[in-house]
This record gives sequence, structure tokens and C-alpha cells, in this order.
Amino acid sequence: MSQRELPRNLKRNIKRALKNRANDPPFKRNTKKAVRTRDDRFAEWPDFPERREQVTEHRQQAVENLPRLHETLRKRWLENRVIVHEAATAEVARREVLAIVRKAKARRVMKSKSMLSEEIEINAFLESEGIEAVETDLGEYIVQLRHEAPSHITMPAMHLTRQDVGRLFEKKLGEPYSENPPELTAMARRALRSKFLSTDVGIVGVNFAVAETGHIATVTNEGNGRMVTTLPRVVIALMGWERVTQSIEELGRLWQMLTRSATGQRASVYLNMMQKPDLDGGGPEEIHVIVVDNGRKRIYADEQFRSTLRCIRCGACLNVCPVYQQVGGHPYGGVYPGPIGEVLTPQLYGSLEAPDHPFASSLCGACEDICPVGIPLPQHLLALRQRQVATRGVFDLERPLWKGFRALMSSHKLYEMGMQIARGVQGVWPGGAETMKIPGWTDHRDAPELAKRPFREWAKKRLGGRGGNK
Amino acid sequence: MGTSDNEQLLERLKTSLAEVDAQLSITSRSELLPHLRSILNEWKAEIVAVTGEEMIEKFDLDGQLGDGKQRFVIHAPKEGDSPESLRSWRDKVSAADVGITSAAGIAGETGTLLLPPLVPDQRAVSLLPDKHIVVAYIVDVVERLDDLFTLGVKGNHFNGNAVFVTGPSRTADIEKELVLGVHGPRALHVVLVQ
Repeated sequence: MSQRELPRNLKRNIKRALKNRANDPPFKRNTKKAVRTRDDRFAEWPDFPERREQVTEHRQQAVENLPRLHETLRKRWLENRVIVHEAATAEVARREVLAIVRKAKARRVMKSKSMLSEEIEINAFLESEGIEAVETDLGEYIVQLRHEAPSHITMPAMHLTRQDVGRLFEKKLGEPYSENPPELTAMARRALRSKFLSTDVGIVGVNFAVAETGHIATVTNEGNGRMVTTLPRVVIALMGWERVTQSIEELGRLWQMLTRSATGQRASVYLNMMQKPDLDGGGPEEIHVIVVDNGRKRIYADEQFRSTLRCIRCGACLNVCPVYQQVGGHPYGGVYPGPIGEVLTPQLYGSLEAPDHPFASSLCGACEDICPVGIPLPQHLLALRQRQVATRGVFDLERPLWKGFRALMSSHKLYEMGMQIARGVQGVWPGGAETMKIPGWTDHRDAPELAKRPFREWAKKRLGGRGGNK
Repeated sequence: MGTSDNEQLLERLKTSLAEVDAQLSITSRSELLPHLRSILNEWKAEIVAVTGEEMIEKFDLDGQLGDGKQRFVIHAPKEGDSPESLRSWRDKVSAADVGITSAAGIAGETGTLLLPPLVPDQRAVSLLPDKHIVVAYIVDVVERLDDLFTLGVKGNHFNGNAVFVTGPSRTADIEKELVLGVHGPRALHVVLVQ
């Protein structure tokens, strides 16, 4: 997977994105459409509020009880002959994957889409070890053939035209040129099908593991997740430590909430539930699960931020975020953009690596409103800001400025005196309020125009002795 | 549930399936064989893959869907078959025009099918061929998707590798244009048996 932006360049990336964007950026259009579709789907459920409460409760309970759920899950996996690997860091996860691939004597792995696999940067690592990692999601396959990075989470080849794809397949697959998407899709199907049938190792992501039964559940629309968990001899499931749910019924409710919240579908085309290897050879003979920590246990240990782990990765918060709508996903760097990314990235990578993430928000709260599992994102952003300031310190003027502001706002006399002075200054300022410049503040707004006469004076006169302050 | 409730549920199922680009037809047990043949004729299917014992037991299909001349039926492996024969079976299934499987249950709300685990594993039949026919009993149609999960748990259909299927495989990755049949089947026909 090619160049991702670094999280610490967020500010610079946002500035660049704003400068370079087209007049009608696709992010704004597509995110609004996604939200409309989601709303329509949820309107079909008269019991949507109850269901949402229930799913929030599920995730809250599951996250609270992760250690206990993992105990149950490990027992099931042992019974089911699923081979478990613990990976405290991304590096360990990569090495575990490589060890499995080497043991299987494979030179190629087929990959189904997995954000965690991007988080641990497995593709580049495998390539460096001489192992071909083939992306099988159509959009990911296309950008991989072009040696590009995906331009969007759910639609990786959004930036390409059908002509681009036609030319690409002509060149790379030796197919006759076509601009017809069904024909182009059939070409990709053929090319990938033959690879699927001749590859021994598959890597799949995990949406949820079911503690009671040990099932590993994967959500896809194309069927590549099914291919990867049905055809290869060896299957590697990459799972985030927090992705556990108690029962199959809970999984059912989570799945429905996920698909409606993410793409407005009543159900994804496939919900694959893998439980056991098929030691007789009909399906995969070896199933490995790599449980990846990479900072998640640290988030769990921090009670204030524990609810972050509830996230089901639906992407709805991205779609309603006014920041994301303007700049898209690339500027955030790392793997997770939007509001959830602003909370996750500093916690997974460390706040030194993502110092500006918690600040790139107006705290409008749209993300919290739409989150199907009730993560208090604005609260987390504020808490992260506080922590940043506490550890990083603030620039020299900020402390005395805030002290002054607090003094001003705490005393009637000081406040009225201060406003009187400000009114006086504004009264003689050439050009009035519009031309006043307050560093930073007036870059994107006008200075407030103060009334010639404060309301409280007018009220005192009008209402006689009633009301008014002393 | 009264007849009109049943009718409503079936109507709902028909709508849900249409919305995910799948088809629905209803037939009786005695008419199942000719009904399947007519669908295979419509699709001009030459190679048909069928799951093993499970289908035969449940629907009395004795494999007479092929004629040995224009249409060949690939039967699924039996328990105890060698891994090599299983793998070569899978390659043949990949070249099949149609795969026929059964479903443990269907949700009217969404058109979702529950395909239960089979022994030996025969998931390739619902995944690799160009098109997919699913046969199920009308009594196994439930209303909500939640009910389908309950049906699955009560009927012990999660003992192994199961999959929920909602329509043919799809993508909109090229210029947001909907295309059916990326890696999985590009057409899905549900046949309900009374």
C-alpha cells in the first residue's frame, strides 16, 4: 500500500487540501448522500431508538468485559482448533503473519479488505519479504495495479474514470480495451478467480468474534471475504482486540446496525461466519487468528477513553463531520480519518505523533449524534486537548491571556469597565469593527461590532428600577 | 399465523428480494424438479453443481437435473472423500454455470438467506458458479432478520461455517455504477417449496 500521509502533518495537509480542492468536492456530495440513505433506512425501523439503545448497551457491556469475553473466546477457539496468536504491537503482528506464510511455503497471499491490515502495514512488509499480497476488493485491486493509494475508505478507486480502468486492464491484464463497468468487472473477476484457486494463504479482517461460539464474522458485498475464507488451505484472520461480542444474537443486531449506518443497506450481501477448519479438506485446513493489541489495551486501561473501543467502524461520523466533508480522508494520515480518527490516532500512535488531531474540530457534536454506539466523541476531543495542553504546555501569552479573561468575566465592574474601553477604541478605530484585526481570531471572521450603548443601560432606563444588575 | 399474514410476508419477501436484485418463485414439492429445470433452461445452464446429501434428503432430488448430453450435474463430495478429490471438485464447481443449494431460513424484511454449514464443506457451490438457485421451505420464511438469527440458533445451524446471503454479489467501485457478480454469483433465484 503506497504513501499514506503522516498524522503529524495534519494542519499542513488540511491547508493543502483546502487550497487544491475542486469547486464541488466529491466528499461533500457523497457524504451527504450517504447520510440521506442511512436516514431512510433507519426510518424503516419504528423501533430504531430502542434498537440503538440496545446496541449501545451491547457494545458498552462487551467493552467493559473484554478480558472476561476473551477468556471464553479462547476456550472456544481451542475447542474449534483455531490457532491463536497474540500480537502486542504491529511489528509482532507482521512477524506472526510472515511466519505462517513461510510455514505454508506460500509466495502469494489473497487479501480481503481490512483496516487493521493497513494499520499494521502488512502489504509493504510482505512485499519486502518477497511475498505478493493481492488485494481482492475491486477498488483496492484497481489502485494496487496502479501503485496508488486508495482515495476513499469505502470507494478506493473513486478518483478514476472507466476509461482509466479500461486502459489499466488493457495494459496490466492483456484484455481488450473496454469502458463498460460490467465487462471490466468480469475481467477482474477472471483474473482474481484464477489467483484465488491457486493461492494457499488468505488474509481476512474480522468485524466481530463471537465469544460464546468462537465464530469469526466478516462483512462483505463482493464475495471476496468469502473467497478468502473458503478457498485457501490456510486462512489468517486479523482481529483487533476489542472486536468481541457475546452471542450470535448480539452479532445479528450489531451487523444490522453496522450495514444501515455505514451504507444504508438493510444487510450486506454476505455475513460470513467462520468457525472451524475443515480437516477433511473441503474448506480451509488451518485457521489462524492474530489478536492485535497495538495500543487498544492501553485505551481500555484508561477508563475515561474506554468507550472509544465501542466503535464498529461504520464511518457515519465521517459523513456528518463538517471538517471531513471539506477535506476528505487523506489529510488525517494514519488509517482512521474523521472524528473517530481524531480520537483514535493520538491514542494508538501517541499524541506526539498526532498533536493537532483533537483540535481539528468545531465540537459541533454531529458525530456523537449519529454514532450508533453512543461514543461521546466531542467529550473525548476536549479531554485529549486538555491532556495535550497539560503535557505540552501552552505558548507564552496564552496563560496570562486566559487569566485576564477569567478576571474580566468574573467581576461586573471589571467587565463593564473593559467593555467601555473596547467601545471607545472601536468608536475611534478607522473603518470600524470590520477592519479590526485580532491575530488568529479575525483570520476567518469579523471582530464583533459592539453596541454604542449597552443593553443593560437601556433596560435600566426603560424598566425603571426593576431588573438590571448592581 | 393466518393465510393473509403469510401472503403479506411473502409479498414483503418478494419486494425485499427484488430490491437486492434477486428473484423469487414458489412451487410445490411434486413440481420442484420440472420447476428447477425450467429455470436452468431459461439460464441456458450446461454445468450445474449441487450440494450433496443435504439437498437430496431434504427435497427428494435424485439428481435428475442433468441429461448427460447438454447438461451435466456435478455432485458434491461425500464425507470421507479424499482431500485431492475435494480440491478437484472445487475447480469443476468454479466452471459451473449454476450452483443449487438449500437454505435453513429466509428473512422477509431483507431477503436474507441463512446457508447452514454442511459436512463436508460445500460452500463453493453457493460461491463459485455464475448463478445461484436456493431452495427452501415456505415455513422457514420468517419476518425479521432478528428472527432469522433466532431460527439459526434454535435449529443449531451455527455449528460450523455458516453464511448469510442477501442477493447476488455486487460492487459500485467503478464510477459508482452498480455491477452484479464480482466474486460471487451474479444472479440469485430463491425457490420456495410449499
